Amino acid sequence: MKKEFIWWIVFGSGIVISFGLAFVFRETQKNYFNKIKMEHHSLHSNLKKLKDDLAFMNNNHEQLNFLMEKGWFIPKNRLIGGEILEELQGSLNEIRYTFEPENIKMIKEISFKVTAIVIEVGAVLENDIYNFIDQLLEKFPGILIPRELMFVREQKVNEKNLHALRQNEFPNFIKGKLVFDWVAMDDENDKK
Amino acid sequence: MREKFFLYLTDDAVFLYSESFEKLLAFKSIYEEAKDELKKLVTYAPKNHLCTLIDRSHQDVREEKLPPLLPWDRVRFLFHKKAEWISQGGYAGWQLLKEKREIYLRWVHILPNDSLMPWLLWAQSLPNPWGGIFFVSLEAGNFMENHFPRSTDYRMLFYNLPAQKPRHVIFKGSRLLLTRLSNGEEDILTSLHFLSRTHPDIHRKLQVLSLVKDVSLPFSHMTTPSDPQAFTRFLASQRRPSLIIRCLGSSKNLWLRRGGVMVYASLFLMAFIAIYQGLDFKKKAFSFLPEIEILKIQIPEHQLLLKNKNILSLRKSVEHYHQLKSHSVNPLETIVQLSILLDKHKIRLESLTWRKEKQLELELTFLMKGKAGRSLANHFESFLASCNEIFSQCEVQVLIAPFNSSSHEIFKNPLRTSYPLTHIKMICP
Repeated sequence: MKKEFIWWIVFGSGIVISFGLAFVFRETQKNYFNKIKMEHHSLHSNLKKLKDDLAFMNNNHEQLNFLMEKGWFIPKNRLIGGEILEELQGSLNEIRYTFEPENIKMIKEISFKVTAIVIEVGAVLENDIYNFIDQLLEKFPGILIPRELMFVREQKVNEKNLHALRQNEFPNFIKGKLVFDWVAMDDENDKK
Repeated sequence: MREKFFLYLTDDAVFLYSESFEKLLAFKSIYEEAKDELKKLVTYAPKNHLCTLIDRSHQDVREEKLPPLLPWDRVRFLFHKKAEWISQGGYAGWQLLKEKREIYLRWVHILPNDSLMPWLLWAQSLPNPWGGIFFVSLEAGNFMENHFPRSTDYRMLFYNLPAQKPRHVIFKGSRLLLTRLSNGEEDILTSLHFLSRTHPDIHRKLQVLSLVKDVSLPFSHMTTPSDPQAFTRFLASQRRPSLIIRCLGSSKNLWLRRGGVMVYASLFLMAFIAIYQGLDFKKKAFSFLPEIEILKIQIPEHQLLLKNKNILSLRKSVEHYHQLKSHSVNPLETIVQLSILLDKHKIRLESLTWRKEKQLELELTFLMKGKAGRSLANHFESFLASCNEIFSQCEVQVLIAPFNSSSHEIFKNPLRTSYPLTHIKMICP
């Protein structure tokens, strides 16, 4: 009886130890599996994100280059802007421009760095001003958003003016005031 | 090789033999004294196994033919049989025999009030290793298998252990038919006569193995081995009994044992499940490893391509740029539309204001030349209709009508000599 009891104890201890070891084995393997699964999931997500980013870069390559050239990320110097304005004067009789101080402006809940540029022009024909606007929107080293354009017929066509034209002195039949917003991305958006 | 003591129990005496079947002690009936003496001798060599040999006139080993039952019913029969033994207590054991397509149940049940019980309990309580309980008659059957072919129908062994009376045991195939003391030839003949009632061919087919030299038997098919101690040597060489019997214990112990078995079985099953689950987790984890290795190679390649690029910022930049573009309007497109309107009505503007805040506003000032009265009114009406047609989305407001002829203005006569001035405002969403 005593011997049987000892056998029960020994066998029972063996089974309990085996159960404990089996349980530890299962938990160890479960933890390892969870760790591997998480790592796999993390790597998979990481790769997917990288692939998305690469696809974004490939699809928006031209646009990003355009924005880079236009100083969307880092606005270009005003001196460069002024120089371009003068280069674009072309057939305009006169051009005067003012770069106002930079402001932060909210458009559709997004903040932008905005510099108002006020340009006063004088020309013989309004087409000269339209061409200037067209060229300016294309070639200005920044993103320009037209805010206000004012054209006024200044002088009447008369003999005096025609005589002046004959002398290559171009009267300002049309005067214009052009107001543009020079817009660049605000760094604060990234921090949000 | 392990040394053994043999405790030989008969109907009326107890003997202790050594490994070589040398009689060490013998007692008759006075069991209490015998136990003390035996204990002294047996515990003197505590490492020797103690085997119990039972050889009684009373037939302890019983056999019964089982009816042809389905396996499930057979299990139930055995279960009930065992339950009956357990309820009565003592020692019990059983085995199934198959003989000529018939199944027999061989069983031994030593009841708690049997004279053997105190001896068996006492023997098991000794510190010597337990060698098992051997029924000499059953071991005789195994012994005869070495001397007769298995096809032999009836076999009889006539033997006597050292300092014992001769005994005979009769088998039919592997079935034990009878075991008795043999005081003389008459006893054997009586046994055969008794058996011939149920086995009429026993006289004709009986093969006899005699180990008792000083008794002559009247059988023609009788074999006498050269070694008369062959059977005792055979018994000494047996490691396990042919039929194992165990102490049934009390019902309390039985339930404890069953409970213990259930607990152990549950733990074993749970351990098995845990190992299975662990292996399954391991297999699944390993299945991820090759893919992880590939990912670990691919990721740095992609990272290299995107080095020094803040994609989140770039994404936001593009998104914000698109939002801004959706908000802005190209004034030249408006002017192209306006030129269509002006060409149609041959109008030259004096001033034009294009303003974009929340809404697009367009202000026009022009002189309406060469028109007067009804003609001027018609021309102005036509101009407004064209405005609505070309700028269909816009709201047209007349700030100054030609000659101040609107209903809310002061209209005076005579007309002024200068051309009529018109000031129009259009608000587009």
